[in-house]
Amino acid sequence: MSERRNGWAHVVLIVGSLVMLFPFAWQLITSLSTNAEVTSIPITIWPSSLHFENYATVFERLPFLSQFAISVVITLIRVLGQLLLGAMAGYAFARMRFPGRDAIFAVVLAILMVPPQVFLISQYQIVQSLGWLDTVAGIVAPGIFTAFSAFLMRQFFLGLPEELEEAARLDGANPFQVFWRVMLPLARPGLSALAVIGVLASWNDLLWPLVVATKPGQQPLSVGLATLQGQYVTDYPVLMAAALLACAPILIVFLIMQRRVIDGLAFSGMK
Amino acid sequence: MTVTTLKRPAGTSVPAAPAAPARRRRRLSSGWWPLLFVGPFLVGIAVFYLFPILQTAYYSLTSWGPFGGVTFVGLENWATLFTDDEVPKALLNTVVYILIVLLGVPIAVWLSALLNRPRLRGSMTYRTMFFLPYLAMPVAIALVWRLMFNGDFGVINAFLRLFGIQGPYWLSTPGYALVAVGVVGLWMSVGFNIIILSAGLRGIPPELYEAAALDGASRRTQFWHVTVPLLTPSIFFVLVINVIAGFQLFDLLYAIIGRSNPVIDDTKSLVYLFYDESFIQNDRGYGAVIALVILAVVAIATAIQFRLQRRWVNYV
Amino acid sequence: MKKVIAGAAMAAAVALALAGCSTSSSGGTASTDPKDVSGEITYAFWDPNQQPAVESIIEAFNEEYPDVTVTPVVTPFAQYWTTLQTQASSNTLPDVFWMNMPYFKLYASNGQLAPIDDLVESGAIDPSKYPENLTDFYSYDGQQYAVPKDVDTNAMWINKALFEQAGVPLPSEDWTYDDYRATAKAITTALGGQGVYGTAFYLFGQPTFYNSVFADGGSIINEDGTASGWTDPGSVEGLQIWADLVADGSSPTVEQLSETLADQWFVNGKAAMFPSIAGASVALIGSSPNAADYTAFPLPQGTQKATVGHALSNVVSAQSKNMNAAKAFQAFLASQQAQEIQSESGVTLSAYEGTSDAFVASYPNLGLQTFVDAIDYAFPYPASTNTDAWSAGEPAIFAQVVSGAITAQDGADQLAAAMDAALAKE
Repeated sequence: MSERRNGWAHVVLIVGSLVMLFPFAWQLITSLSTNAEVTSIPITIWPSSLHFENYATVFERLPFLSQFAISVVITLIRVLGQLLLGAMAGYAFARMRFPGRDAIFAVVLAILMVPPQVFLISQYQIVQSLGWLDTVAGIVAPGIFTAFSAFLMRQFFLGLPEELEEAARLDGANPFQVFWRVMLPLARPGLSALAVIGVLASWNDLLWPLVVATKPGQQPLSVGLATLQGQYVTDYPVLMAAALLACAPILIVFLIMQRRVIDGLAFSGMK
Repeated sequence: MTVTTLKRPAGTSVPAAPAAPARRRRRLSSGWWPLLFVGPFLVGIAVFYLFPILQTAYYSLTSWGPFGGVTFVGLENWATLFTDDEVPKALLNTVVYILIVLLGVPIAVWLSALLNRPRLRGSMTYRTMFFLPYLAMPVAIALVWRLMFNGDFGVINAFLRLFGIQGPYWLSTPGYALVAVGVVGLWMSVGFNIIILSAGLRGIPPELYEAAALDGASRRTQFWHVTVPLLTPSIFFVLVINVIAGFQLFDLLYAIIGRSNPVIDDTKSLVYLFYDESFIQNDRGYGAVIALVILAVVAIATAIQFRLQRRWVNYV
Repeated sequence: MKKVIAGAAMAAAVALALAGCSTSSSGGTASTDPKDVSGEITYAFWDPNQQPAVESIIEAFNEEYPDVTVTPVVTPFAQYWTTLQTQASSNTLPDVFWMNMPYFKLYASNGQLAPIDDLVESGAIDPSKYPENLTDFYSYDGQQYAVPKDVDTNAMWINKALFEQAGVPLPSEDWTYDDYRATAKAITTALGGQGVYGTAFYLFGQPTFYNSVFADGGSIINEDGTASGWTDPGSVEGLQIWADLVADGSSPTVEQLSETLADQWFVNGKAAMFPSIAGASVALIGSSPNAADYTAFPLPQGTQKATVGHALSNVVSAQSKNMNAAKAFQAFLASQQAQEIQSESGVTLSAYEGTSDAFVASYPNLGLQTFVDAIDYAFPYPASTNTDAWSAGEPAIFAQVVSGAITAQDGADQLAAAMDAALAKE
C-alpha cells in the first residue's frame, strides 16, 4: 500500500487533530493576551500585541521553581511506589493462587467506583493520627496505593506468556526471583503506561495536598496554580500561562516515553 | 460482583501462547509468597480506602455534626433516598453524560484504524495531538470551552451560522448544557481511547488482512469483519473504564457550568449531588448514602458489562 | 470509636477555650509585655491579592511582638471551606483565619471559635470603631467573636459615555428602582440598534435582589435566622424589578446573562449600568481600558435606601495551641495601624473608622466614596447557621423569575419553601 492511498486517512486525521488542538492553541493565545481581551465581546481571538510578560508574572506571583521541585519530589515518590506495589499486587492477582483472591480483587476494583471526595476526611484523620500532617509522607501516602495500578498491571500480566516463568521456575528460581528477573522486565511497557498515568494524576492532584500540606514552603505546583484564581476576579492570561508551564514537563515526559506508552497500553486491550 | 467473570483468564488480543491446563494445575498454591506480593499493597488499601468506605457505610446510618460527632439514626437517611427525586434526576444526567462520552469509542475505533494503516506518515505526531487533551487542566481549559460555547459570541455558534443554523445557548439551556459538558468529556477521552485501541490493533496478525484481501474484501469489509471483531477485547476495556470514569463526573461540570449558573440545578451529576449534600448542605449522613448508591450503580453497570462481554467480545 | 474521638475533641476544645480565658485575663491583653508572648501561629486566608498587605501587617506586628512567628497560608476560595471543615473535624484549624458572614454562625455555634470578649474588656479591640450594623453580626449567644476586617457594599456602575451618547441625563443620587427601570429603557431605546442594553446584572443575590428586597422593606431571612423573609410583600417586589428589566428588553436575557457575565457586558460597552459588589468589581473596572468613562453610583432606592453589607473578619480557633499569640495577632489585625496598612494596598475597603481614604484614592476618578457611604445604610448579609444550604439554590429560582417562567410571587414562595426546609434541618 502506498502513502498515496492514505490520502483520505490524512484528511480525516488532520481534521481530527485540529479539533483536538484548537482549544489548546486558544489557551496558548489566551496566555499571551490581556485580561480585557479575554473577556471582550465580540470575542477577540488574536490579541493586538503578544504579552509574553504574562509568563514573567507567573514567576513573580508563585514560587514557581520551588513548587515545581516539590511537585517533582512528590510525583517521583508516589509514582515509584505505585509502580512497585502495583506491579507486585497485579502479578499476584494475575498469576498466584491464594484464598479469596478474586473476592479481594473485586473489592479493590470497587474502590475505583467510589467518588474520591468520599475519602478526604477519613484519610486526613488517618494521616493526622500517624503524625504525618505537613510532611511529604502525608502528601504521598494515600496516592501510593491505587486500585488502578493493580488493575492495570493485573491486565498486563494476564497477557504475558507463561512459558518464560515456567522455565525460570524449573531453573530453581523462587517466585520473587521469577517476578523480579523475568516478569518485571517483560512488563516494562505496562510500567511505562502506568508511569505516565500516575505522573499525570499526581501532578494535577489538588485537594489532597492542599488540605494536608498547609505550610507555604511545602505546597506543590497544583496548589500554586489554584491560588491564582480569586474569589471573584481571575487574571485568566496569567492562569493560562501558568497552566501551560505546568503541563509542559508532562508533555515532554510523554514525548520521551511515547513509543513505550503506546506499546505499553497495548496490554489493556486484553481482557 | 465481578468475581466470577474476572477470574476467567480470557484470551488476549496479543497472541500470547495459551498455557497448558495441566501445567497450570500443577502450579504451586504459592505458599506464603502471595502475602509478600499483595500484603503491603493490601495494608495500604485497607487503611486508606477500605476503612473510609466502611466508615462511610456506618455514617450512612448516622447524623453528623458539621465538624464530627455522630448520632445513630438507623435507616432514616436511607428512607430519605426513596423520596428524593434529585437522585433519579442526577442518575439520568450522569447516564446521558456517559452516553455522550461513549460516542467517543466508535470515533476512536475509526481513528485508530486510520492511524494504524501500514506506512502512514506522521502517525506519532497525530497520536501526540490526540493525547494532548488528556493533559489539559480542567479549570484552565474550561474557560476556553466556555468561550467557545458562548451563545452570542462563541465560535461554535459562529460556525453553525455558516450553515444557516442558529445554535442554542449551550451553557444555559438545560438539555444543551449537559451536551456541552459531554462534548468536552468526549474531547478529553478520545486520545486515551485511541492509545488503548491502537495498541489492541497492533495485536491483530497482518496475515488476517492479507487473507481477507485475497478473498477480495474491500477495506470497508476488512474493517467490519476483521478489525472490529478482533478489537472487541480492547473496545470492552475502554467501555468499562469510560463508564467508571463517567460516573465520577464532577470537576468538569463544576469548571464548565459552575455553581452560580442557574442551569446547574438541571445538570447535577451523582457525584455533584454527593458533594452538595456532604459539603454544601452539611448532611454527611445522607451524603454517605449517595456515595454508596454511586458505588452500587457503578458496580452493577460494570458487572453487567462483564456478563454481556461473553456475547460480543471475541477472545482469540 | 468516632464518638470517642469526637468526645475527646470536644473536651480538648473546651479545655483550650478555658485555657484561653484564664490566660487572657493575665496574659493575652495589651497591658502585658508583648515580649512575653512567643511561639508560632498560622494565619489562613483566600485572597492572593491581599498577600502583600498581610505580609506588611505581619512585619508591623513583629515589631511589637518579636517572638511570634506568623505563617501566612493562602488557600484558594474554591477549596477554602472544604479545607477548613476537614481541619476543624480533626482539631487542626489554623490559629487565626478569615471568616465570612455565611459561615460565621456554623463555626461559632459549634464551638470552633474563641470569643474576643476579653480583648474588648482590656481595650485591645475597640468595637465602637467599627460599623455597628456589621459588627453586631459577629456576636453569637451574647459573645463577640470578631470585628469586621473589611466591608463590601454595592453600587451601580455607570458608563457616562453611553449615557451621553444616548442623550440620557445621569440619574440623581436618590433615584429609585422605577427610575432605574426607566433609565435602562431610555438607553436601550436610544442605543439598542448598536446592541447596547440599558443594564446588565448578575444572577445571584448579593449584588442584585438582596439589595432591592431590603430597599422595598422586605427581608431575605428574619433577624434570628430561623425563618425566611420571602413571605414579606416587599421581598416579592424586590424580585419583580429584575423580571421587569428583562421583560422591557432593557437587559440581556437570562441565558445571555449566565453565559456572558454582567461585568463583561459593561466593560465592553454593551451595557450602560450594572450593580456590583466592591470587592468583585473595583480592580476589574479600574484596570479596564475605558475606566475614565465609568463611575460608581449609589444603588437605587425603594421605600428606603439600602444595600447588603458583607464584612470579612479575622477569627481565632478555639483549638489554637498558642492562644496568647493568636489573640495578640487578632487584636493587632483589628488595630488602626493594621487596618491602615490594609487600606493602603487599595485592594479592599478597611472597616476601621476613618481608614477608607486610601481605598477611595486607589482609583480617584471612579467615585469609590459611594461604597464607603453605603456602609451607613447597609443591612448585614443574610445568613443562618448553614447559609449555603439554602443560598446555593437561589440563582436557579431567581433565573426563572427573571425569565418570566414563573411570577415573582411563585418565585418568592419557592424560595421561602426551600429556605424553610433547609432551616428546619439546622
